[in-house]
Amino acid sequence: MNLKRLVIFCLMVHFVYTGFSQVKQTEGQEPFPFSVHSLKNGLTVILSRDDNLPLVTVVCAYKVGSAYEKKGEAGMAHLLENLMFMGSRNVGPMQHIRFIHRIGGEFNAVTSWDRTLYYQTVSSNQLPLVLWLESDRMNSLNLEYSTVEETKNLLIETLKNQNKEDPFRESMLVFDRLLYPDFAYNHPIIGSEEDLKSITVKDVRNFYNTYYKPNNAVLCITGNIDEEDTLNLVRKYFSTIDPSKNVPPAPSFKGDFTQEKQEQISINEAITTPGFRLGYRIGSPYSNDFYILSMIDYLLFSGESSRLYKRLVKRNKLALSIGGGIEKRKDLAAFKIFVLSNNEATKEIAKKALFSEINRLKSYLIPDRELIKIKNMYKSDYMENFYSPEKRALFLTQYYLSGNDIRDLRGELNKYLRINSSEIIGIMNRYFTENHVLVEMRGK
Amino acid sequence: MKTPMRPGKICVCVLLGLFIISFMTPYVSAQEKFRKTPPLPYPLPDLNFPSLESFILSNGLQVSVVQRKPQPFIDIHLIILTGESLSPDDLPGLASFTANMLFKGAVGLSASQIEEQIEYIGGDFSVSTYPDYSVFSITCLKDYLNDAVKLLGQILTQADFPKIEVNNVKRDMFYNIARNTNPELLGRKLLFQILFHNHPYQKYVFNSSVIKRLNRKDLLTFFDKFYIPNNARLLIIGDVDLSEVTNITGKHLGQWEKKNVETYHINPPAPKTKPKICFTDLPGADETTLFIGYVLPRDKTGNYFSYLVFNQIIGGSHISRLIMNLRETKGYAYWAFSGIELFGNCGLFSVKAKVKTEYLYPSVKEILKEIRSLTMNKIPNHEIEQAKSYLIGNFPIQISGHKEFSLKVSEIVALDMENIFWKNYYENIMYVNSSAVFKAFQNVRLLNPVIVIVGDKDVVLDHIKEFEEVEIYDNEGIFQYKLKKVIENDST
Repeated sequence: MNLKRLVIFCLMVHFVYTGFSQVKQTEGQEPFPFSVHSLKNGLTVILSRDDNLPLVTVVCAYKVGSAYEKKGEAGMAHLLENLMFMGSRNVGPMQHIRFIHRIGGEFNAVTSWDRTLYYQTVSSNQLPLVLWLESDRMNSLNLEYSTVEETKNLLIETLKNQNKEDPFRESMLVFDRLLYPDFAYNHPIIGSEEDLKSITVKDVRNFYNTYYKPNNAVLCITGNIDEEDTLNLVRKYFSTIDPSKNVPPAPSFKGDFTQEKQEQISINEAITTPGFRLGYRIGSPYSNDFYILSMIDYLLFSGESSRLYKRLVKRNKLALSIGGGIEKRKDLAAFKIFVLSNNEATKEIAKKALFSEINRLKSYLIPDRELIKIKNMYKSDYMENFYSPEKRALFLTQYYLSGNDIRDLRGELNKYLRINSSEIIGIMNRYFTENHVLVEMRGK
Repeated sequence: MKTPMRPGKICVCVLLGLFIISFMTPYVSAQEKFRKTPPLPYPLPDLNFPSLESFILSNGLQVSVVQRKPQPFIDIHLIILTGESLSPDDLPGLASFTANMLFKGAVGLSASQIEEQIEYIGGDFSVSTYPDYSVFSITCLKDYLNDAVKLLGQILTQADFPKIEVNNVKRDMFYNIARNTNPELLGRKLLFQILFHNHPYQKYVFNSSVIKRLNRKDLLTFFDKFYIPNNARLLIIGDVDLSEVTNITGKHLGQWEKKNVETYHINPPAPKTKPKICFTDLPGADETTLFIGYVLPRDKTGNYFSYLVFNQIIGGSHISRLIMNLRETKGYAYWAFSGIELFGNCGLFSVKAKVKTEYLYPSVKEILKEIRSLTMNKIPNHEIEQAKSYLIGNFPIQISGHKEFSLKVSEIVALDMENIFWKNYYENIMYVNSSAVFKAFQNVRLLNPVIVIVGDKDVVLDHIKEFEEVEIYDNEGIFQYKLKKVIENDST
């Protein structure tokens, strides 16, 4: 054991036994009341009451996303997300949106690698309407040839515009292909033009009939609700929808995610400010390491006093902008960093400064005050999730879909607040290694 | 090779088919009755805001508290009741400059240390300047209320405006203006400039050349004159009680020195006597952005809610008249919306739209036609009811986050709107009917609009020839020249 390692080991032992934190913990408390229910057809229902305002948010989420797509059908999950607004048996095309608009409600939908969420916030007296709308499209989506083709063409146009308007998009695709191991994890959610063109109505119907079923969904309702009445409404609208007999198991990565170092250059004529993308593969988002990695994310990026912003942007003016953090893709996660610089020379210096900041965190304990600061910032952002019906509903849904036992939510925040400086050093040395992925972005 | 089917076999197949279909039909088409039509809503729930409790410190600072439990954050807003309209005439932007400098240093504290202190308490910070006031907002975890107010007190009583930060803030302000190529921001800025020409509110928008003239001396004069407790309001929202706030504010802000405050009266702007059309060039802009604006009188009575309903009908949402007409029916525009803003002495009604450049002229005509139609005729009841339903459903969504809620309260406090906004919002909306909207616009004739067009000159010029007269501005808002419609003589 060399001297540096010995020092680190001693410090780790010290802090494991003494520990410190001036951030108040809320041991074992529920951050807010919620309950979980299950219908006979397998639909999971999460309810949480919040009477601050006369509002209700309904999230209907399906356990399917781009990682579930087969080769040749990249973009299917996102295509279906769009088709969910194109009408069902009792609701005409785009009528879902119009119903919500007419009552002053707001809606959105999002597809990620392993889930697709539909959510709307309305005045709480309109809850029956939202459940009627959501149940109709879960029960009987209209998937006609013309609608599917029209939606595909619209998405292909969007894809073309993205390529035209974002000079950094190509570098992002290259970066993801190097960082993540296979098609399921590294293809873009919007898909590819070629695949979108080749997807047929039959393919879409199969995808819908396989995954858009109550036993592959979760319904979360938060806000100014009466729990019993809400459960009765949910039973009325959803309990007679047939479950899927066979939902395929979720894809999971079996290989070794920590591959060797990879570096590449991505050139795009439209790039006027050079930069680079740096990525570290950090393994499973479900391990205990993840709590410490989240603190490292805050240490490096959160706020104007964060380490990278202070060093690269404010003090040394090496970067025009800097961003990044942890990205979770189903059962894998990566730590991504994105830096834009004025010119090639400052970019190179910025890169060195960045590596020096990372190396500093591998060897030196962070000061107590800085640790308290990032914990307070984390606590503040974490709690922000509870204080509107929409944020709370999304938070509960995401937590449930992450595969966690939702009862663990009670003590979850404390897992972040208990972290000490020596654990940060340990994790930095484990994951922030030479085996990174680096993509340089240049104009011509 | 396929063998032809015998007639008997065909009959059996047909009968079997019919049998299967008749058996399956009820299962294929049957559905519960309740699925066929949308359900009725429950009765409208109450919208109850917590009360606003206030007290005044001995130095004249009015402190207002809104208790919201349980909430782990405290939102603190310091409102200085002087905005850009009281910047000197030759130094528009001084109010914004002063506000942007406030958290950039105090005796013994650098700008970075202040940032770090706010982040240490799990907080964040923002500054906004409007024509009538500036607001400084701090959010922090509730355990740190004392630290946040202490820091605020330290900054207000010991601000030292370091020279290096003067230069940094001026540089940021300069680049924010000079590099602004956002057509919506450019259009709004020019609209404001033209609508409030020769009125103190015009100073709310300023160009980058002004930034060079801003200096520390003028800043100190402005700060000494207006940043005084008897020209300010402090608003604290969260899980706090009045006695706790009384102790903390007295301790940390009681030393803030009271001074004489001059009273300024700003008259409402004079109504426009003729329409005005202005164009600003944005090279490379894909499409054309359009603004149409009118000044409204500041209404402290129920007319405000009639304006809201009117706005909702014409362009408040994705199902309002403008978007249905310009985008869905005629295909002229990508989007078209309208909005109402309130200031201390007047209001602003404006429409903004992104239109296909070849349909610029007909788009303007259609928008003006819609406005005229809605103000000259009584609006059908079903449209009024639809708009009210939207407003009642949407208002609580707009304030559902704690920051959005507290910013709304700060606006209410700063513009003295407590009576019309805080109490009975739903009831005030519900009282609006077709006659009330019609009556409200009998007094407010929307006759002489200011129209601002932002787009690429090379593309747009061909399409603005239809207008009688267009004033051309650069994208800093400096007047360049006028274009007049050429009337071709028919020489035959």
